[in-house]
Amino acid sequence: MQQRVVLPQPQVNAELLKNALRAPLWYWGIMAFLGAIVVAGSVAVGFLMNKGFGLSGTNRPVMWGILIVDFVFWIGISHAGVMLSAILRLSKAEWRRPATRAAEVLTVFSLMIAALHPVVHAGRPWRIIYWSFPYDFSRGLWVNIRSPLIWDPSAIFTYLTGSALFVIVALIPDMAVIRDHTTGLKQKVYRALAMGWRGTPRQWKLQIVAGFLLSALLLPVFVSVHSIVSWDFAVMIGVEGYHVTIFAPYFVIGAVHSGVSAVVTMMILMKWMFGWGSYIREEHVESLAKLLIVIGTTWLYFFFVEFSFALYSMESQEIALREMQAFTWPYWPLALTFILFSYIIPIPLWLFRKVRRNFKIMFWTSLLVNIGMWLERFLIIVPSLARKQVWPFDWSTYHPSAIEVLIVVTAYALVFLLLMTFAKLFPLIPLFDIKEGQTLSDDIVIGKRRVPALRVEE
Amino acid sequence: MHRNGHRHIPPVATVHEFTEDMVSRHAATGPRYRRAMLILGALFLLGVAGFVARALQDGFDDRLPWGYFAATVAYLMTTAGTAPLIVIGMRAVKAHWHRPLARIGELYGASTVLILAMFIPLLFLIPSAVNRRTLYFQSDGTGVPGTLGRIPGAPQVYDLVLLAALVAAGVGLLWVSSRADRAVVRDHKGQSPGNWRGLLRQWKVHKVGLGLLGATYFLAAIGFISLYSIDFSMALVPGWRDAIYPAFQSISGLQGGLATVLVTMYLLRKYGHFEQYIHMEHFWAPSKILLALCLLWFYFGWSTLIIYWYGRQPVERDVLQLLMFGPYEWFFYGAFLLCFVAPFTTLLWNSVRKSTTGPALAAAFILVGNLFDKLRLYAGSWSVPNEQINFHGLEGVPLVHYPDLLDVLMVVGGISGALFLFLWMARRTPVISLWEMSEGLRLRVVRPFLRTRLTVIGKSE
Repeated sequence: MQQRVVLPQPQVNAELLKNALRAPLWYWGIMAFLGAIVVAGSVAVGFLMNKGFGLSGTNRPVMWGILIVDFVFWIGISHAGVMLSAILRLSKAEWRRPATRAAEVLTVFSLMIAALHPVVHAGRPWRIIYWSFPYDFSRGLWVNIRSPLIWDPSAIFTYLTGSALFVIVALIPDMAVIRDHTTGLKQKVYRALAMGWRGTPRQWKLQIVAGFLLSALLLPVFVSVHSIVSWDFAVMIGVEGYHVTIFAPYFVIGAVHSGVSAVVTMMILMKWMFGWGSYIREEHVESLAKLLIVIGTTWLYFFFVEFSFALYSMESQEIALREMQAFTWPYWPLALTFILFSYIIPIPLWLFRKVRRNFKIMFWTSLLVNIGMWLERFLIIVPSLARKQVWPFDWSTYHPSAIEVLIVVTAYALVFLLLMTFAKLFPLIPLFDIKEGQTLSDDIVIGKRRVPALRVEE
Repeated sequence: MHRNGHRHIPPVATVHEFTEDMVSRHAATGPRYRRAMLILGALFLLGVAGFVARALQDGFDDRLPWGYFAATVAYLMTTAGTAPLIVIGMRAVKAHWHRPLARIGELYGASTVLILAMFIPLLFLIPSAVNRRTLYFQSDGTGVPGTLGRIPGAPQVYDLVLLAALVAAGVGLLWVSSRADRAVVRDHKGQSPGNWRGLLRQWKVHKVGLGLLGATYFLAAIGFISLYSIDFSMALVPGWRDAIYPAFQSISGLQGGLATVLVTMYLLRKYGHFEQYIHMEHFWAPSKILLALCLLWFYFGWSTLIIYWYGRQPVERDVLQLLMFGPYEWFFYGAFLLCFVAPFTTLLWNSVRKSTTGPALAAAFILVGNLFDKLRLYAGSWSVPNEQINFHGLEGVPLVHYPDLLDVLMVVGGISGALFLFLWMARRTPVISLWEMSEGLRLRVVRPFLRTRLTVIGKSE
């Protein structure tokens, strides 16, 4: 049953803008802590560039380490925004309202951070320019546009541009509210950002149309981004375990699984940190959990098919690789943790209504999913490269160096830092969406029961 | 939208008016209905005759003559067999527009009986899984590392068990869902209503039953489509190793299932005169899902193509040649055009989606395209000689196997049989779910809002 709470609009403004207008002391403590990690990480990146990529744990034949694993992971997290915002907006799911902004912002920041990983991984980042762009017109030298490695940047930047526009379009009415609640320089800045928003019917109409158009346009882009990332691996025939036709949808559904789980984690954190219990309610987390059961089970189907088809090949090398992934040290504990955390622990728990409506359990289980999904990417990328060569004397394994681990930790801190900075400047729950939801809510009396209802245009 | 700019809200009938109307319609059978049953029944019998003739003429030793028959089973499974999935899914997400199309989907659940009957002869045509590539990754113990040894009965037993579960769930779903409606019909005829009294406990059991049977049907349908596509086409072609293929066929099934429901709903509205209960919104909402499924169909197909294209290994090129650009290329182009290009370009426009004809037309394209798709996949894979079954790759792409008269009879007869079963079952239970429509009418009111009137829809949970 829905626990609908109808609040007066001034109260909605006051509560959701509380942090943006006057941040509490603990907020600055968190910012300082995250800032320190980011500074340490930046120093590590500088050191790595200065001394060379030999400081990382990558070595022949494993030349892609946890930076690439993390790149794939953050691309996956970025799928949360469109999945929740665009699809739920197009399908007019009411429970999307408190989750959309956080999901969209998470998309933008995780994409930005994802794009940094290959740059750091390149060792000499400035070389990326001539790897990615035509560099010698006179000699007719061009980059290999048939390579997915070249498609990656265009897909990611298209998605980043679209997602940023998506966030900005949805932010305009809320900027106008902040403009009306501030004075002095702040007001001038928000006035510029609100772009003359007055809330006229024409402006609302354009804003809604833009939102729908961007939703529809972003959907294929969102699918293409992770598909292209998967093709970075799948078009290779030289690495066992990579050349698989299912990789594109398998990566996309895995990304959605981890992305939506990250949104659940984030929403619960927002509720706890900012005291938004009236907006992020049990029914919202429950609906997300139901969605995750479907997404998770679909992901399991793809995982099962992908794994089975490696055995289906009846090729000894491929079967040996799967044996190594699942049963050989140091991979077997990772494989066990991955499958337990990604599916076996959380999904059966979410089948119970009480669990779905329990914030603490949902927080920890959604976190588990992302730990599991990070390990999944590790298990896809590293073991295959470790057995890339036919001859056993060329086999090797990979241990990440301390610098790589620090850079990965910094990526998490940086995303969190950016989110916290955003929360200081703008509301993380869209004001206008919440108010629209309240305006559209109604109820119907059937017999002795009052049933929550929704006003809809047909 | 009316010409004067006001939105048109369809008139709301009362529960009583609706029930009376539906029961009286159910009691009567028009001449057109009887004629349709007669024609479909005759075509079905011709199909049976074609099957018997094929069995007598070619026996069950050679797979080649049965390729089109195997394609028909796949086609029925991914159209009529998946129609209930649409209802199950929409009921789970509580989409209010699913109500008039719910029973249509469930009635197609009865066609799984025909699919089972057609499937059994196919079991004699595929070899056991021993010492060849199958999903059951077994060997005869000749030293392939990592294999599990012999799995008894693979693959026939597992496919059959899954299909039997599907049939039980499909028939059970129809029976449970229509129980309350059959009691209403009996009440109006003055007969004993049976055990159904509409008690709170009975409704609770009914709800739980629908949930459990729906979940079983969903899992069994996706499982069977996956296994059938692997065991009855991919595993028969050496070198064809395409992990996305079972998922692609499942998506094709969802697309075909929704298309089947939409075309049936259109015909019911037009020729059954159900305009009062089936409105534009009942086409508009599913048409968006159909559009998404068209895109997914392309995406899954493209994912295979790009990996094979880039791989360019001889075995991959041969498989592409066999299934896409070789002997069955026209079937492939037809499937691509009708499962993706035509419905996508039709449904892209909101004005087309927001009509009753547009989505039905796109759905009709898909139903034809799906048939082409199954014909190229199954006729192609069943034309590979049995001697090659455990080779690493194809030894030359087989020539096209054109259908003969018996093939045509079996294809047409199989499709007619499923439609005949639908019409036959529709005489036993109302074709629009009485209890679900009544529930919808109770949860829907039209109220003034500011200077307009809006529909208010209750969400009970």
